[in-house]
Amino acid sequence: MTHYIRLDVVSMVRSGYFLVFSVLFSAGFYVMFTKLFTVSGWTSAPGFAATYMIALAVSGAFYAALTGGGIRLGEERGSGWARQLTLTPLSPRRYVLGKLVSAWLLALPALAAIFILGVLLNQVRMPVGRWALLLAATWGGSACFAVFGVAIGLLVAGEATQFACLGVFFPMAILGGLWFPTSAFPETIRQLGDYLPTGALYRLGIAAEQGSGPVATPLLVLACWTALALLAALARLRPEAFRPSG
Amino acid sequence: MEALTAMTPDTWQVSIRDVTFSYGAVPALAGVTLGISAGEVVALLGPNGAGKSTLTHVMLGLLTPRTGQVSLFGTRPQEAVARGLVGAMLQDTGLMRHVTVRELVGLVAAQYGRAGLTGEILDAAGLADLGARRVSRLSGGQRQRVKFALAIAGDPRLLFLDEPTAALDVEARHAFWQDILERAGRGRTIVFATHYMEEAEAYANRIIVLQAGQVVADGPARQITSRVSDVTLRFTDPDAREEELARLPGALRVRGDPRRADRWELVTSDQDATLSALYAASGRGVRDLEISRGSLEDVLMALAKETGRA
Repeated sequence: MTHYIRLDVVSMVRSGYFLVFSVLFSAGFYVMFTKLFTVSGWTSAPGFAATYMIALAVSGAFYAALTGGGIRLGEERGSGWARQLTLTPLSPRRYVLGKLVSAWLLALPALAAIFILGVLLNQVRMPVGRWALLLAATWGGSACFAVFGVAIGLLVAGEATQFACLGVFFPMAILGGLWFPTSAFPETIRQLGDYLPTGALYRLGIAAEQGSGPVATPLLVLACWTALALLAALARLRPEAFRPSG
Repeated sequence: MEALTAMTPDTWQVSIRDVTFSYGAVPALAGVTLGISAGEVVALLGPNGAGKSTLTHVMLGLLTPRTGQVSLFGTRPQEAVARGLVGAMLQDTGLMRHVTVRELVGLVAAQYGRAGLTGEILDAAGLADLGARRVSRLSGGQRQRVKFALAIAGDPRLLFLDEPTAALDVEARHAFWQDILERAGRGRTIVFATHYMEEAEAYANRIIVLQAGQVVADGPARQITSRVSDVTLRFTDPDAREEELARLPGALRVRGDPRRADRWELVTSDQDATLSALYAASGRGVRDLEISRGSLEDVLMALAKETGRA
């Protein structure tokens, strides 16, 4: 399985579009709103460079995990490659687990790239222990996104997977407050954001960075979404799932 | 046939019993029972839509039959696959993108613990010069060879091939069958689906004919092709007399060539018996023998008549 994970990650990185969207998209937003534009009441808030860094890092990780897990799994099921590969001693279960792990690994460069930008461009500073905690929290929490991606990739196959993943990505990223402040949204929608995995991981990251803040609720939210996605994935993980959609 | 009757289910590598399957309301397999033992080269022959691919998928555990049992090596298909006993080359198989041929074949070989043999596998599939090529830059025939390399990467004891030569040119087709026959010679079991009767006849030692989801004929290749469609023998024999030829075992009709007195055309239902009797008769100088058979369509029509389903 490690051989498969290695080659899957390599092929994903080589594909290029993955890096463009997971790293460059977030990086562009970060540069735009911390260096180029000022939006009063938002970008001028104290500590914005650090909080927005965390928000966009989570966004990049979310995209990377959804793409690496979901889009690829759905496409490979649709094309018949998943079937071919699972007709070897690599069982469907381990193939999907491999996809999950590689999607999770692919979240790492997105997180690291935005954190490095924060340090270099905006002099975001915190003790090494806090950095480690922040990375551990955001990457650990990204496992939820990887499971999410895999569940989508098992529910939808072929080209439709791409739309399904983006259909999950945009609303969840926006409602989770990863791109813009949710203060302009109606109260109910703002509260909803806290119960999305994106909003929960964002708040967990802020808590890690500040060394204080709510931890139990975001963790619980993430755990619930992970369990839900895992159940959906397991329900769909049957031999028939690997026949290409003709 | 002796070998078939002497076999017990325990020695079967593939055992299928009363299997039915349908896609929604559309029946695809209507009660299939068969056993395949080690070293057989079996052709699943039938027109498009006869159920060949469905049967292959059922044998591989990719489809769960509605009723009936399937086992490979006495266990569940998934278990046999997990143990590395099975290889498959199916239709509509996409390949991983952004990797080279060598990386891809190496990946599959590694699943069977044979990563170190990747070079040999590439050689066997005629891909020695294409190892460094990106998979996305391959031609149709080259992709087909990669799929073959993936199927044989584990040197599996049981190999399933669904319409394997579809995208291959004549030369590649020949090399492909050479490799398959070499594997069969080493005791590997081959099951291939085809709608070319010539391919089934030339390479299989057993043919299973499927039509409308049922096995309509199953037996040694020669028996199937000669039993169901009469064979026409044309030969030169200066000493033969028409009434003698007509009495040969299996002979159905005899016709002399109106232009040449020593040229004969004999239609037989049992070419083996007819030919051995013809040669055994003393003083015969049989020369220039030609044997012609009907097409797959003729075979299927004859079988349909035989089984009472037109």
